[in-house]
Amino acid sequence: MKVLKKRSISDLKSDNASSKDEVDLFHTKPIDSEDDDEDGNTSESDILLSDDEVGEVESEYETSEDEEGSVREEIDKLITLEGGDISKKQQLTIKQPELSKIYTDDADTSDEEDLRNTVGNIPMEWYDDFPHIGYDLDGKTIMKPIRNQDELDKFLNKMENPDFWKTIYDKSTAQDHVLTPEELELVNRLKSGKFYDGKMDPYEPYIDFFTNEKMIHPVNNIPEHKRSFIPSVLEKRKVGKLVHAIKMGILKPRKPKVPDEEVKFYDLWSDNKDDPKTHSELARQKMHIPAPKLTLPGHEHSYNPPPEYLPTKDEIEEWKQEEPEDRKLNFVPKKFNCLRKVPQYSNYVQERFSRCLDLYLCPRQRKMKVNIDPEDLIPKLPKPSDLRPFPTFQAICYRGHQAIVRSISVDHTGQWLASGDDNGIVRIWEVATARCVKEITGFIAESPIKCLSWCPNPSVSLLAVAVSKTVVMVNPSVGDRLIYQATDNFIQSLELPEMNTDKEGEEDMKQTKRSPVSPWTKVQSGVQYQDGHRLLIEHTKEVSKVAWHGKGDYFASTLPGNGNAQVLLHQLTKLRSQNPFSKCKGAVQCVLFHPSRPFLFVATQRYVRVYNLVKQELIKKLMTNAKWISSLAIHPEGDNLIVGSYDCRLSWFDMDLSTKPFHTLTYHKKAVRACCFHRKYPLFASGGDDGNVIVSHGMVYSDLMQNPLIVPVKVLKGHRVERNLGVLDCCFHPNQPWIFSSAADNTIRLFT
Amino acid sequence: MSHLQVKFHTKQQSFRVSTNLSFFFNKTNTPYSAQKKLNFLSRYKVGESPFSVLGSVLSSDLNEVIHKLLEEEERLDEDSDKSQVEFDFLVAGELLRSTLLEHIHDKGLSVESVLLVEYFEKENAPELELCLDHKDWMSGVQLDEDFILAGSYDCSVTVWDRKGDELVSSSVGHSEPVKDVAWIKHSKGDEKYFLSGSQDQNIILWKYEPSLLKVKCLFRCKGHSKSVECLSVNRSGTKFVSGSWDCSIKLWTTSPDLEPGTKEVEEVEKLSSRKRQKVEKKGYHRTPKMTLCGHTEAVSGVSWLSEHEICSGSWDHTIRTWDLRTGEEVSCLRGSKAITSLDYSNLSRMVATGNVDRHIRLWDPRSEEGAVVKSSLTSHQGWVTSVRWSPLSPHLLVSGSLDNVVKTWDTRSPKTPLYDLTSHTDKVMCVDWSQSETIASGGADNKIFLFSSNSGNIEQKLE
Repeated sequence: MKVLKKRSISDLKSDNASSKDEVDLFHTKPIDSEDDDEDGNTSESDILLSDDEVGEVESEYETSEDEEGSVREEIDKLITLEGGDISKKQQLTIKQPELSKIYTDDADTSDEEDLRNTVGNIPMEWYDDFPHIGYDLDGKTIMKPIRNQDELDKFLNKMENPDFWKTIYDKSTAQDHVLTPEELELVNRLKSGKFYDGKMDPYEPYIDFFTNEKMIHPVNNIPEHKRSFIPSVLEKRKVGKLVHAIKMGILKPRKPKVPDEEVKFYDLWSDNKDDPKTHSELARQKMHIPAPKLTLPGHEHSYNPPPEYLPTKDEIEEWKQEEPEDRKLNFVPKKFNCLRKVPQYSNYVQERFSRCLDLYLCPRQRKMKVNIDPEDLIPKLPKPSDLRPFPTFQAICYRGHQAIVRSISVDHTGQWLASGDDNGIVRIWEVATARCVKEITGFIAESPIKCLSWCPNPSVSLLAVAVSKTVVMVNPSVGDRLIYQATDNFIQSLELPEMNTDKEGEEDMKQTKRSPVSPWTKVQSGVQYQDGHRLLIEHTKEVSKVAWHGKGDYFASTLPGNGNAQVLLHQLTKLRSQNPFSKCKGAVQCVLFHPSRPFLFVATQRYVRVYNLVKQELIKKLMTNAKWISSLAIHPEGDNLIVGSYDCRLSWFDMDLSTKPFHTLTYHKKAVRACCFHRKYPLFASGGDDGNVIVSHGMVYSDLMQNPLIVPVKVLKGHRVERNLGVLDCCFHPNQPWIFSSAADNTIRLFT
Repeated sequence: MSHLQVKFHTKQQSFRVSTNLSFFFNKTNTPYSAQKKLNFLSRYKVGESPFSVLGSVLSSDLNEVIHKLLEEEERLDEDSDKSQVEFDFLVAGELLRSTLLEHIHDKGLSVESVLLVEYFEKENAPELELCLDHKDWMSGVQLDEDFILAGSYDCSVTVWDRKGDELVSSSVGHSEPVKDVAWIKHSKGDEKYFLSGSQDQNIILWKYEPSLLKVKCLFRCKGHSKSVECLSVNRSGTKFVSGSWDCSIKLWTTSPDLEPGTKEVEEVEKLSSRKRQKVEKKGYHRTPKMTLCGHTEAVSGVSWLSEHEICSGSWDHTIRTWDLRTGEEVSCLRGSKAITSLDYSNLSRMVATGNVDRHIRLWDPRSEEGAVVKSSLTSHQGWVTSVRWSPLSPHLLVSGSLDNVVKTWDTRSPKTPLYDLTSHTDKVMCVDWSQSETIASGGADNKIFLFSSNSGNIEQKLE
């Protein structure tokens, strides 16, 4: 039923083979189809046409070459197509009765077609040598029709017969057959892949016998058969056999597929892989440097540039004057009305050549660009607010001086402040109230007080004042009465070394001529005594600085200028002076004692020399990199030194580290005049001609491996700059984090 | 601008115009302890219903509100003075000086809940009463009921009466500037006794006889080795302590009589003169009863806490409390800035210190827990040289500074002082408020100013 159509075709062939006379192609179908019905469940092999059979069919049709035409071809195609269809096992349902009816109608119209060739499906060539073509139902021979058409007849037939195109040759009957319109339509339908029956509706709704929905009462509710639960004996046997075969070595596993050998091609362009690449080659591969890009054309390259890009005559002249290397453009922009008027570029070859040179001579070097955040380079310093206490604002201004205050000094208790001005007046102030408690005069008239300094010995109340060519020891008589009275008594008790009496004295005099040593004199009475003057030390030159040793017995005075006696050391208890250096290199600016060891720092204009006074030798020479040193200060521990200089620098030296500055602060705008360390707090400060005092945190750690921490914390402003002079001296309060500064505006200020 | 719910309440009683007045805004039913008091007096009392005010109101606006309320209750009509009464407003323990909203934000209060605003009569501005001229800087001043005592940098001690007439001045006792002076309250007859400490390391106990207009140097208290910076007499007037630059505090007696058993050496000083050797009697010596050592720098302020306890402030940044019975240090509060002046108030039980960093700090000398500094009052532009508590109010104090200004403070408004007294033209060296109605200040402009502070807390007086 299902494959009725295919069957009909196979029947058709058999019919063709059997009937020698002109038999309708489709005539036999109804009968055969009945056979099919009878056959019932015939195997599919019967139904399917093998390829060979199809080929036969084709070859049969091909024999009638004389009947060329589209129809023929179509039929050929149809058959091959049907064969294909069959192979695809297309299932088509055809309504049998209608079909048979059509063909029976045909059979009725022509009697001749009743003739049946009963030879069956045999090659008709077998009958070529016979006059008949087969046998009819009654066993009588069917005679071949007389066909003696030559080529000419065929041609004429082709030309004249309008039905030629639908005339086919039937082998089984050896006759021509003209296709009826129905047959033609059938052919066309088959050709276009439709059902041969036009009334057939292939898309009629499909009604399934079994619904896909689950029903309450299933159609079939037979329980699973018992067999399905029992292992299959047959399978067991089969497996047993296989196992046995494998064991016995009869059944062997498949051999693994040997992969096809890879087809090798010879790489014509590859380098020889065996040769190792040179470093330069590797490097070049690694660092591909793209050629420099040509600059893109701008407006000036245009054939019709905007007027502002067109050079004026002067510019053209200038351009011509310039060296070719210096020219910004290597051509003169010109204006053309239209593109086609632009002449050939005369410089083309030249330009290409220079480009090639550029590429060839391009420096093949990769610039290593370092991406560093500039912030990272700044050392991580703590915030100033974490480094408190330090002076932050001006608390007190000490007014009263009529001239520049060149020098100030705080006594060791921190209660009194001494200051000396250019009029030769020394004032003693009460620190807490800015009360001027004493005004000491009587110094050499009109000569400025260069330097003053309290004796650091707490049991002595003395102030060393450097004025002109003398150093005056003043007892300001403030503070503890016992102490300043004791100081007076102590000085009274001192005996001046006798110099001029005997020979030794004469020798001394000679020595003094060689190296002038300042003689001491006591002030015994008079106005000066009442003013507090106690001792007078005459020098040969102007004294610029005095500096006490930490214990308050020795002090040094500086006599700048050329010559050998630039530094003198004085001993208070013995009223003696000596010149420690037989020769002085450079002009000494200031000297300083080491707080704990017998070292003397001597600052010349550019260097600071450190001498050991006991061993009498030079220990170190510090290179300050400064042009002109102005001041020195030493950390109370004695290992760190700051040096201020007139070229606005403040250099910090770590004596253990190096002879070069560990750190240089250049925060002053103008010359640094003074610098100082705090005795107790980790603070140091510098005052300069810009009128500012800069306070810095300078922490020195006891761990020798740790570098000092230097952080500028505060710029203290307040002093006016007068005559290009700003802060002339500064010093810290001995116990509090306060700083005093004196300036050219005749004031002293306390910052707390 | 957001609206705030505000409720006024007063603690104030209506004795005088100058009484304190507190409005009290109570949202909950829990009564404020003072509310009971309110019920019987409270001249300035207003209704307890909460009001809604703008967040941007200032205390002047609140003032108007109160006045309106009082008018409604017809309380102000009784006394015409009251219409001039100004009120101060206390919100969350601090005086209202900015807008209410800012104040609340600063205090971190919720704007949702009803605010309790206490109000009281505003302190009157101190009025300049008297100006005393002198020859030199004034270093110490103290008032008595009748007299004004001042020490000066010209080594003299001067007594004025309250009208401004100089009664007596003695410059013979000290050879160096006087740094501090103090009255001793003896109730014996007419005679008055006072002390003066000087840079010449001595403290002199003087006797002043008002009838004779004479001062006499009774005792010369010797023992300090450096300038005496501060003096403080105890409440009963029997003892005093002195602080000095030599880092020590010494305890002395104030007895005007020679004490048996102690060596009171009569000092005789020879004045060198060509013509004759004159012997001048300069009084007896007195030695300290006790020396308290512990400070590492100058002692700049001492004050009595009780009969047996004193506290001292020093330049070494510490406040130390001492027990005089044992002579030992009881506690030590460490600050970060040198202390220039110290005063203790029995009412607030707080120590106020003037510091070199321009602040006035309040300390609780008895507690070492929590923040050492309870509060700091900031407005001065220079070192605070002197602070004194009001004798009557636990909230008021006066301070003098190197910026030439004397300020009166309410401790409840730490940012803004009550009044600036800018009479001085130079550094203020000393202030005094030992008499409740008068503030005195002396400065480097050689003047002493007396300001009447008629505000005193009446409640305290009544009690």
